[in-house]
Amino acid sequence: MSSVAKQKSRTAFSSDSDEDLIFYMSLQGEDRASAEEAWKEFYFRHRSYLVGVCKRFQSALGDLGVEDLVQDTFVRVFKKAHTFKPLGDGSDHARARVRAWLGRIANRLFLSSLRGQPRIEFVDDPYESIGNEPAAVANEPDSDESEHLPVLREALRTLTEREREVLVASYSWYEPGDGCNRMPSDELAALCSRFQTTAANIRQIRSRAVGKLEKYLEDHGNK
Amino acid sequence: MSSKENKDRKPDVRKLERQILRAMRAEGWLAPETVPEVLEAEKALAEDQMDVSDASFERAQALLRSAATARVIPLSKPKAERMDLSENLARAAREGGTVSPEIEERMRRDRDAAEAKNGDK
Repeated sequence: MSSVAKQKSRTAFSSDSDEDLIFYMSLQGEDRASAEEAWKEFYFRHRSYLVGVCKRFQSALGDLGVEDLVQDTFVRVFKKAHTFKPLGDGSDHARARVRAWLGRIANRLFLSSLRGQPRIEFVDDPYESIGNEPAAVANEPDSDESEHLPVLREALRTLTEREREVLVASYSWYEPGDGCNRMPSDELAALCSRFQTTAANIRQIRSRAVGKLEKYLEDHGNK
Repeated sequence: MSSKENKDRKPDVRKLERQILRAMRAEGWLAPETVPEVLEAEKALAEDQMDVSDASFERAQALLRSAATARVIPLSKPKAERMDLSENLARAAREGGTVSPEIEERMRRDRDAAEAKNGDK
């Protein structure tokens, strides 16, 4: 059996688009060696960006945890390459779209750690949802929402560490239309265990945090 | 608040939730997940100054080749609960996997970090 990918060396892959690299990775079942070579090119192309982005989690993960998260994200890209839907062009927009996909994978893996699941398995699980279609909501915010963004960012900085963590965990289950009310009960239980408190208290912490943000927005939103 | 008032308020709550989520990513609490967010993050990152060493790639490659087994990302926060080394090993054994050198290295780091932490007390 021959494939286009099979004939390529890493040097040859360097001229391929990100979407093509992901496509070659998706052929791992037929041509593992070429898939790994494509992955290598992809790794060196995006590693700096991903390290920069994952440094956002440094306070929770530490330096080594950041490195681990970067590596895990790339491995997950390889495993999930077949799920990526290409746009079919090599533009900057396509590159940014691939990086947005990387971001969603990194967030999922990070939140798995945060929710009290330090052990990550590379298998599909019922909660796994790393589709590459960005949430429309965040893509096309109305002007009113963009206007309030700086104030909300200020407001976020006023939250306590505990409020911040509960909020991040709760927003990891955000779905357009449904909001943040879809956290599975076992995830809630994991949060309770982590903070050694009750589910009712977790809901209260979240509600208080959102209330604080809302109040801050009311007080400072029309600056 | 009546159920009607609750219903009327729902669009506002949804809007606020969308705004909060966006602000969380903009603030760097989460990785960028949309094209505009990525473009903004790229401007802020000095990618050229970041090291991409062959050693880090080799570790990633080793992980890729042993990815059927579990991984551990230890949390560094004091509040975070950590599984100790013996539990990690026992779990790996229970679940039928061999422990790859990569996993062993992580466990070693986990143990060293825990020991260092205890030593600080």
